[in-house]
Order: sequence, then structure tokens, then C-alpha cells
Amino acid sequence: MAKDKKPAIIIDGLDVIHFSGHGGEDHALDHIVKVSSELGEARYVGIQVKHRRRSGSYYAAPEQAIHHSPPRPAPQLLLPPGTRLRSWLSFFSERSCRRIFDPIIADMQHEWQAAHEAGNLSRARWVHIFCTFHLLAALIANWLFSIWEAWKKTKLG
Amino acid sequence: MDEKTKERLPVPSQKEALILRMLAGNGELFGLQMVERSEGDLRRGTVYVTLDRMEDKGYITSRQEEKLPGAIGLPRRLYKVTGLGQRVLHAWETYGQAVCLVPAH
Repeated sequence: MAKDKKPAIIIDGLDVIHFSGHGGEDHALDHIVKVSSELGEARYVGIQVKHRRRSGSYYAAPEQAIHHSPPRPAPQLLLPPGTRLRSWLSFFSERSCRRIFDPIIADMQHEWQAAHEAGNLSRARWVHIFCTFHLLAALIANWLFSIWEAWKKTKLG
Repeated sequence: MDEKTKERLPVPSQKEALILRMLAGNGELFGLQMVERSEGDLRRGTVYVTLDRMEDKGYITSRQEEKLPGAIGLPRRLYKVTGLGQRVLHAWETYGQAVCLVPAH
């Protein structure tokens, strides 16, 4: 029953993910996905359990369903590298992020996407590691420059 | 030349002069393109720190690239030399040629 339903989610025009229901002997699961075709957005709501009983059937609330029957691991969305790193860098000034860290992350994501499109996954992994290292180098260089400029403003400098 | 005049003279570093030369010859460039064209003189890790300082000094300006359809993540930055940057580069090269410190380009 639920296995027949396979709504497709299109995310950023790149990935198409199929959710399929699964169930045991006494219940079946339906994955509920709201898809807005106008906006091209998809939202995973949860799962719904349909209990099969002799006296009839009823639908449980999504929260209860998740509590009583944990779903299979959801398909993982491939995030571009640097997405989490960018949020960690937010404690730096907005100016430093915009002018120094964002362009490095943007370069990394650009190269990573090019490697993925070419099907070169090892290159994509290498770009991720390589550019993270360069981001740390930029962070240190930025600190050193700031210290140097502060020192130059003093009488000793 | 008195001390005050000397302080006002903008003197670009070797890396700044290299970036100004590239931007003057190519129009707008991405940071990564500059690193590739410098053949090892500019490093990926520090080029954006240098570009940030140059923007503060008014030698260059930058803008975000327009996001292409299908592109993911953050937009990259494009850099362009300003009028001041061009004048600084010209003055620096003229000075270099006069005292034979910088080879003519």
C-alpha cells in the first residue's frame, strides 16, 4: 500500500529523491512530503502510521508515529562544503566574513561543484580538505596583519 | 621631500603591485584566477587578506558575481582596479624604472 507511493522531491534542480513507505506485519508507514510546485520547494513533514486492526483502521499523529516507529534513515542531502564552516566563522566581523572568508568558501564550493559535475569525487574530497587548510591560513594571516597594523599605529611602529 | 609628504605617498608591496598589474591588464578577475596567473607568487590562503587591505586603501573595488542558474553555494567576488590603483601602479613602475629596481613591463 504505502510502498506504492513514491513522491519525488526536487531540490535546487539538482537532486531527485524518492521516499518510499515501509511497514511491518501490523502497520504500514506513509512518508508525508509537502511539495510546492510553484516555488520548487519541498518539506519533509514526517511519517504517518496506519494501524491495521480487525475493528478498523486509524491514522496516528506524525509525532506519535515517529515516537513509536522510528523511520528508516532519511536520504542524506549533499551540502556543498563550507556550509557548516561558514556558520562557525560568524563570530568574526561581518566585514572579515564578507571580504576574506566568504570568497575562499565560494572558491571551494565552485571547484567542488566542478569536480562533482565531472564525476571526479576524489578531486572533490581533495578540494574540500585543501581549501579548509587555506581558510585556516587566511584566518591566521588576517590575525597577523591586524596585529602588524595595530603595532604600526603605535609610537614604536 | 619632507616627512609628511613621504607618509602620504602610497607605496604598494610586491604582491600589491603584482595584483594591480594583473587587474590593470585584465579588467575584472576572481581571486583564484589571480592565484593561477601569478604562477606561485600569490597564495590561495593569503590572497584575500591582501585584496581586503588593498580595498581598504582604495586601490581596488570588488563586487559579487551574478549567480548563474544551477550554481550552488556562495557567489564569488570579482575585483577591479580603481583610478587611484592605476595611478599608484603607474607611479610605482615609473619610480622603479628610474632607479632600476623594477624591470620594465
